Amino acid sequence: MSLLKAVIKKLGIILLTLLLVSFAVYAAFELIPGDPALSKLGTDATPEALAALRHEMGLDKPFIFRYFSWLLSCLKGDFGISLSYGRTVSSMIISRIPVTVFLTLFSTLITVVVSIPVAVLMTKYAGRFFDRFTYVVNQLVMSVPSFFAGILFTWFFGMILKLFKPGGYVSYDKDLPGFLFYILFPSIAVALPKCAMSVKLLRSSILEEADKDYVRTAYSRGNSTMQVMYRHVLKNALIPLVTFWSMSVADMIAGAIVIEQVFNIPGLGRILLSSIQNRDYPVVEAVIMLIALVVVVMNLLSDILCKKIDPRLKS
Amino acid sequence: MKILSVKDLTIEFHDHKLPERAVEKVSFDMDEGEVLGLVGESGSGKSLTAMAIAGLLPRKRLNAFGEIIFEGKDMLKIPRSELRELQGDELSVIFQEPMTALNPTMRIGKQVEEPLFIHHKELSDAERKAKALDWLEKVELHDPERVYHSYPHELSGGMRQRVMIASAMVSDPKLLIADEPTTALDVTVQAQIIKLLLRLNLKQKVAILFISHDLSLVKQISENVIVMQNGSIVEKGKTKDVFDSPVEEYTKKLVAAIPEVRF
Amino acid sequence: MIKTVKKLFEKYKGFNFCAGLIITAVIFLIAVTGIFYTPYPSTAMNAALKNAAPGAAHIFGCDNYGRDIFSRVMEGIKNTFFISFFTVLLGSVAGMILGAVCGYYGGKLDNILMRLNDALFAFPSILLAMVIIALVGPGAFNVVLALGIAFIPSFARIVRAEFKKQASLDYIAGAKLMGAGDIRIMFVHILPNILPVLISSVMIGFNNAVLAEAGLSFLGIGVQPPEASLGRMLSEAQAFLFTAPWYAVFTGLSIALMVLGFALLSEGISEKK
Repeated sequence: MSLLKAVIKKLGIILLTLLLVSFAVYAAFELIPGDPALSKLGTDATPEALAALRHEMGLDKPFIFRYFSWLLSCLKGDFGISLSYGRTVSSMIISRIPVTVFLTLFSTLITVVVSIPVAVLMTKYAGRFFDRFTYVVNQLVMSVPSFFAGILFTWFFGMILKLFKPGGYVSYDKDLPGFLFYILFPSIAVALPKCAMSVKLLRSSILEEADKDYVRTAYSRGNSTMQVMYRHVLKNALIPLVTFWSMSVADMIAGAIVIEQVFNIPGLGRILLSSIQNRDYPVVEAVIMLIALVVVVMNLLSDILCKKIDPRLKS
Repeated sequence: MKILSVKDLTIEFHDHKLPERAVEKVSFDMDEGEVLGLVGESGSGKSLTAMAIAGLLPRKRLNAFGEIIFEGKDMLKIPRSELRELQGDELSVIFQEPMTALNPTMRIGKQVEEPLFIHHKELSDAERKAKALDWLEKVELHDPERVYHSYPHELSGGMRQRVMIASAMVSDPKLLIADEPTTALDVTVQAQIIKLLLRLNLKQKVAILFISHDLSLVKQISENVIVMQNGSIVEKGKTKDVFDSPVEEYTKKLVAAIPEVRF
Repeated sequence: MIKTVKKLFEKYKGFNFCAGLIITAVIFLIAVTGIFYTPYPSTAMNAALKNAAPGAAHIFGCDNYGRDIFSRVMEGIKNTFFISFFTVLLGSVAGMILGAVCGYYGGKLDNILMRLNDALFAFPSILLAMVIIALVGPGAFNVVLALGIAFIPSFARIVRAEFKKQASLDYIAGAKLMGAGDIRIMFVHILPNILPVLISSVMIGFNNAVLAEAGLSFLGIGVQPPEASLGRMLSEAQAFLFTAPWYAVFTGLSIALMVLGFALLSEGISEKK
């Protein structure tokens, strides 16, 4: 019963958040000076044609009315028509979603899969050479922005080692393995700083857990150091990391949007950028709403995952 | 039959600039099925002695010298792997803080079973579970099946200490080290746990090394007692003798400090 | 002056602090020098030096127009440094006021504002800044505005939590009994107590600002040419990666160094003994 209540409350918060974001986004673009009808027809349009178009676009209706009709059509998957391309926004976006999703997914996966063993090894040799060395490398990696890492990768792996062809993007619907391989390098570039941060967080989390009483109990039962780590410490140490990772997904999307420019990948980033430069608001609104949805869902997911790992949170 | 023999046990901190002795030349023996009380104030070295016997001294910070012969093996000299084979199997420990001594994210059942999982790989999952349930019942927990599937935070302090005892006893150890097992509990729960330990001693023939700062508790539970002060033994003998006619000044003071309960 | 520096060093002896301080000091010196002096005019083109390799005259080499990369990096550092500085100033002051009011008074307003704040906080700040830039257009001033606004939620969140914690402590009740007004309590009594938290979040915020500014300029929606900016230089350098890799390497490294210096410094301060 209380679980159901918690779920309903959480869902309510999610809907409210999305509503708030949508309102903020829509209102923000309303505030911009300028008349979309005017910019569409040009300054030499007749007042009658202008009025007719304004009526057709619904611009003569009050703001709140326009907001809700926009929201309603958004819910149906209709984000309007691009101002600069004349196509429906959804048709422009939909084929690009998988590209950015794959990039984000890859980066998140790399972050999680790499940071756990590195942090475990660091704590195993805490205070010794491997720990200190990795700590320094970690600090350096944290400071390299992913787009610079991407450029270095292009230069080193693409141009010198010729592991991949810089700019030679292959679409996922033509050659999936080729696409995945091409996307690997940008994913690593996006993952690197987050990975370094995860290692740092997890290292201190593990060291903190290792000092707790239950660890001594585990040793007293005859567990070896590694058994204590994998059976007891790691799970407890991962709890704060789950929250960090789920919050990072939003940053990974942002990272993906930037890295797409480095590796010449036609994903959501490309379209968002060009629509920002062209002030193509329906497209910007749609992409933002999409990202907001992902952010909110990830938030929910991390909540559920945390409760799964940490039974204390259930009550 | 002797099961434990401690000879000239000395423990030094070596992470300080000057090595500092926390325990100095402690020697005593324990027989099979004996209940031995180890009393002293905090800082007297009683807990360090117990941890040394249990093989749980943090080796990075502490050095231990002397001999601790258990099951014919010197606990201070044998390799870690051999030590681990004894820990949780022949020799178990229960700790002071039942609130934090259990892993918060692992079900009670899994924690009670863990010694079997480590030391008795020949048992099937079902056999392990049956043993764990049996022990949860033996430590007088109601509804063992429910407790088995609970998490530590769902149980009270007294229940958790019972769980700790079940987990310590599940592999039928010869020696149980109880390090201030009742200090963190209410007085009524304290009495129940003491009674439980005594019953286990009678039925299972497990020897208990009972560490406490509370003399009245030690008086209730142990036949023999060792009094420690500043890392050394000041007096040892039959509990009755030591309490009725203490020889050393320090013991006299301790005995005099026991509050008398009148009804 | 020397004495205070000495004292500081004694207080935070760690390697992180010293290394961070040295790097940050160098960056700061370059940023300040960049205001009135660069070895070459940063926009002076020289066709003979197109993509020239690093040498004695041009230690970082020259770009595709034959401009001295070191001079441009200097100017880029200056721009990034001051943009980040004002961004953090805007974000932290606004966030502090918002967080202080919400945390101190609590209630319905706090509830609504914080709900909105959480929604914004979950959003990557660079994306938020991109939306604002879509509204107001690119340029150095707008970048400060956009990033500054985008950083408000994170500061507000931290300050609010601290204020909430402090407002319930005894010394505040005492100050109230002595007749201190709310404003006085907020800024004279509570603020000094949350300074350590504030300082560390300002330092982290500065780093995020450097990264975000570089990112926006890299995408072409930040600082506009002819002003030099590290992000934009990096995106230009990408086209000449094969013929003049030093262009990208030196530019990127200076961004990384800026971030590293501040990261080490804040690390060093937080690990004091």
